[in-house]
Amino acid sequence: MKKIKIMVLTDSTGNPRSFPIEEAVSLDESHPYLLREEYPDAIFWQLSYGNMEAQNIINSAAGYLNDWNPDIIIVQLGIIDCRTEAFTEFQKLIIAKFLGPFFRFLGKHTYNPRLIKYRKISRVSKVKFKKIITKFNIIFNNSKFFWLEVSVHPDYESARPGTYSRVKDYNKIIADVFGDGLVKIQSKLLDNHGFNNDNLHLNKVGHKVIADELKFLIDKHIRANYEKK
Amino acid sequence: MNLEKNHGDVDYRIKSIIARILKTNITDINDTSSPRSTPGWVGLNHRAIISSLEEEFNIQFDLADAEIFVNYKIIKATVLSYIEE
Repeated sequence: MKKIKIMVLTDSTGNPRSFPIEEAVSLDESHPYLLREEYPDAIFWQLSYGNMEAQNIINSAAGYLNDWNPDIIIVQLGIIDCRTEAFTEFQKLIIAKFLGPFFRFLGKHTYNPRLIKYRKISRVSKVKFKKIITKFNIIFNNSKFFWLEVSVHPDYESARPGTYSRVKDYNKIIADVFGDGLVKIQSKLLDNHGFNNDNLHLNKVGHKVIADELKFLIDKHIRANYEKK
Repeated sequence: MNLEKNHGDVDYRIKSIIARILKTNITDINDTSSPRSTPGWVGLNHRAIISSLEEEFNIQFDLADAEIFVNYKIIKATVLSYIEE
């Protein structure tokens, strides 16, 4: 059988996590590594970076690996782009750079839910997000995409008011661009209590849920495309 | 999403610009053409290609996008994503 090439791009939600201790996820319990165990003959390339917008991760992959032609691309990006913020990244930089009571006051309230609810800034607009993922789709037009639905626990609203509804809009954009490449996982994560107590990152169960879902889809893709009829 | 209908026309327009600036034949430009593989595709010419594409398609590239214009395939994908808006 063909040796399949799999690219995995994630933000922190695809990484192991050492905190909170009672919900720690080790590297070999993270879904990208659970998948590596399932496909020991496949070639994996993974780029996972916390607090990173989709554009940064995608541009790295496109810049270095545009001629690699992966068979499968697994993506878990989008929450950083769409979640609500109190300040833009530039404003955060200014606040962090300058001294004085006013900037200290603002710095303390960077993650104040009431201020976030009032300001509701997103790092990446819907128009720009669509542009970025459309480019990604065109560059890797021979690859099969599995883009994991942007998912958060509904209680994430208490930390980032307005995020839950915005997530739906960004998932719709992903579905518009990748069609059945959008992998629905939100309800499975909720049913299996897969979020950790920050309501964003995944616990061991959440990683396993995703690995199982991806394995099902990858096996189906391999059967349909690479195995001898 | 159907971008296929745009590809032919956009492909020709981008290749025409690159070929004109690099003083080469349009048929010499393909997906793997890059500043490393194509004579003359350096410095000011690279900048001229970016400016001409912005003018031709009435778009303005983000710096982050222009930074990864490492070959023709990426340039074309980027232009298509901008004009799809």
